[in-house]
Amino acid sequence: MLRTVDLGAGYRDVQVLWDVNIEVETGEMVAIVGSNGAGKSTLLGALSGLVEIKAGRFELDGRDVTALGSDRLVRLGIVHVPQGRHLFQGLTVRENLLLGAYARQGSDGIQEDLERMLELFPALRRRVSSLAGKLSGGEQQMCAIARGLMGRPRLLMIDELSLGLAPVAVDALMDALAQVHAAGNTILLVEQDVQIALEHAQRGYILDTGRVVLSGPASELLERPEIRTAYLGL
Amino acid sequence: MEAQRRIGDPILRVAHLRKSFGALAATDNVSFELREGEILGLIGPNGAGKTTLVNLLTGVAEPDAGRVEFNGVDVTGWAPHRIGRAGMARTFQVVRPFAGMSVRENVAIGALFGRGQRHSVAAARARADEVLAQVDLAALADRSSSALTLQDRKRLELAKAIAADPLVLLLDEVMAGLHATEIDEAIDLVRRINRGGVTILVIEHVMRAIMRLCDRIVVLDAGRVIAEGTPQDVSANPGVIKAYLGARWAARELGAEGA
Amino acid sequence: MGANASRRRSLLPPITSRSLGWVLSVLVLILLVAVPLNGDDYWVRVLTGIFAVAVMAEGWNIIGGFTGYAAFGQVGWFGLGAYTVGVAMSRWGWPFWPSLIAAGLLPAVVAALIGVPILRLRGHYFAIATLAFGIALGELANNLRYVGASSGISLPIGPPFAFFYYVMLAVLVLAVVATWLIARSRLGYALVAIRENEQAAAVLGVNTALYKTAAFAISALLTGLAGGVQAYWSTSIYAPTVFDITRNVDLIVMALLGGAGTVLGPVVGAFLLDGLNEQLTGAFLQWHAVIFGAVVLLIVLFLPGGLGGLVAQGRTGVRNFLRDLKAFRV
Repeated sequence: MLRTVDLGAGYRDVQVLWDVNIEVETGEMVAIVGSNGAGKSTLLGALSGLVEIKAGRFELDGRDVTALGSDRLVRLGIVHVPQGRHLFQGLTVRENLLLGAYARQGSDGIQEDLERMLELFPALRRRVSSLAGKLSGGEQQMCAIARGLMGRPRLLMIDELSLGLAPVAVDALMDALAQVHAAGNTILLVEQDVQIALEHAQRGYILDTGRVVLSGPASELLERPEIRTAYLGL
Repeated sequence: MEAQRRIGDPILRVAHLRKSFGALAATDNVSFELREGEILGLIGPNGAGKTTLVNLLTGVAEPDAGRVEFNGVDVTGWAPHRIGRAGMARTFQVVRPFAGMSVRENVAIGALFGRGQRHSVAAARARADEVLAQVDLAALADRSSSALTLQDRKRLELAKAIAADPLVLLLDEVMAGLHATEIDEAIDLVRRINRGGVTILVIEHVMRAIMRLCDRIVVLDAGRVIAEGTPQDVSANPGVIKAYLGARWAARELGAEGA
Repeated sequence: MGANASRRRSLLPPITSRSLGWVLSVLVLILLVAVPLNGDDYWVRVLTGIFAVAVMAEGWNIIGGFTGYAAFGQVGWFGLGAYTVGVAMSRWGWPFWPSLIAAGLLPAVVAALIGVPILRLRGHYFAIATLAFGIALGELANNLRYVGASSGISLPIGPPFAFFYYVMLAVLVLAVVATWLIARSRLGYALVAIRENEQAAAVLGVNTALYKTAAFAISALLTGLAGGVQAYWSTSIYAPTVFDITRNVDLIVMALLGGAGTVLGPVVGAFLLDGLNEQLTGAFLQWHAVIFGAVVLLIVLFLPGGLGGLVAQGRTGVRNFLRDLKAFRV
């Protein structure tokens, strides 16, 4: 469904990503792992129109969408759940979720989808009228993912799910994510916690200093020494 | 009053440094030593508190508790320009040269106000030319500093700091944004500067670079020092593995080794 | 921005090349010195006024252009200098020259004192604080009985206008020379460094508080001198005229038009804009606002470096400027 071809991206005059080739097939859950500064967030930013693409291109269903702006990409079904959640702090959970559906055509199904989100994340139901800024870290992450799902994405991209969360919360989130995947959604997960990412994903890519150094089935990747080198340098 | 300095003596001593922002302890009881002549690396995962620590060392932030001793003098709480004058130079992560000036003039600022304070603009410019030759920027001396490539801007940043004749040079994420060959060149340059008599503290994310460059490494996580030692020691340290790759991975790897 | 398109932008690009700039400046100076000898009272009066404004713009340039701290209350120093001469000459019976020296020193001292807290502020906050302080000085003068409250002060009658012409011109030359000396000195380097990246300057050893305060005090001194000359020249001064707050913005626009951070830019800007205003005195208020507004737009959209910046970039600069103007590119 999604394919990048020799993608290069960065900020103003700093190129962070070089010659990146990744693929995500419909229905897959793919993980991108790598150390800090490896370019994982930059990659998602490039795919959602937030980061300048300096070389190469990327395609959605065979169509070159490199030059499209963020709003077009969202309408095409690419939804980015950014690092650090970025919820609308002063709005309630319900309002955040409704805004997630902003780009959808017509208002059919929005209330149903909202209900489905609350079933998927029961903890959110209790807090549905609370201000998003008052939620705990785990609840905020749930809200962010739910908000992303409200856009009925074709591809859901999540950046650093586990950041700042206790292991228990991360487990709960990953279980919910597994359900989302099982329901047929395609997920691209950027994650620093290698173990949890590769345990749940089917395939993975290892990024090191802006380049893909290894890719393959998640279970195999877990055993590779390249992971250690990518993270620790030795 | 400058202390007598010998290779291996601690030139920077950090003791029980603490800094909190509200309830969050960004720096929590941090102690370590930087020894004369070495290249010490400071690493840690995102949010470990490296930036806060650098700000504490350079006077940009004041610690809530603890002590910083530089070249035998207690510099805790000193203003940034005093610490700069005392011989601790620093480069910035986001490299922004002084845009209204040429490359040479940028470097001259370092010579004018740093430790080796030159009082005449002419002498400062001469020193600037010396330094520019050291970092291979001599050809661009008259250029506007806003027209340089990223790699050259980083060299300029380095040159500004060296022109101040520092005793210690703090390199804040100097490798960011460079690709493989540029990183190699940067490593060479830093080693050359070190051999010229400047002790270096490198804060970095690019692990490969740090492992190749540093004599010793200090690892921070959540504001605390969790490991200290040679690159080999540190990369095998269970706490470090856990901090970088996650607790689950560490458990697996160490469990597999029957540790 | 291509590597070869960048021309060297040094600390002091007065006009196209150094020597040409000097030659032109000296020529203009000779011309100006000759004006009163022609016995044309109109021009003597008009130019003296322009010199005063030019000094104020040049003074602002030191704290605003070089150091990057846009002060919005410079007229306060002008008024303070004027009242110093007023009080010294009419109440204490001092002769003009010592009064004038005091008119320069008092604002400098006050600026150094309030500079300590006020220069800790940045950007908008600094602008508002300086504006408020300038207004406060004016209100003080307008209400303090010792300095005449709303009736102002009357000074002794002075020499013929030509005297003031030359004194104000001398103050202007002093301001330009001072700016030129600063630009090439250690202080100048420090100020530009502070403007461009205050934190980087600090860690390199620049005592930023000291240098900012020095710049603030020097700008106050020069502006105060102009005010002092104005007072004796006008023979009577009221707070509203010497503490005219609209002039605060005028002088900034002049400095920007000519080129903030250059040596002669503000003077050029002052001559252009104030000269223009003089020619339109009839419909002053309306034209004043329209012209200054248009100039501000012009500068912000197309000429961030002012005319001085344009000149420093040479032909490429002019071409780019015209191209942007045509394309109305923002």
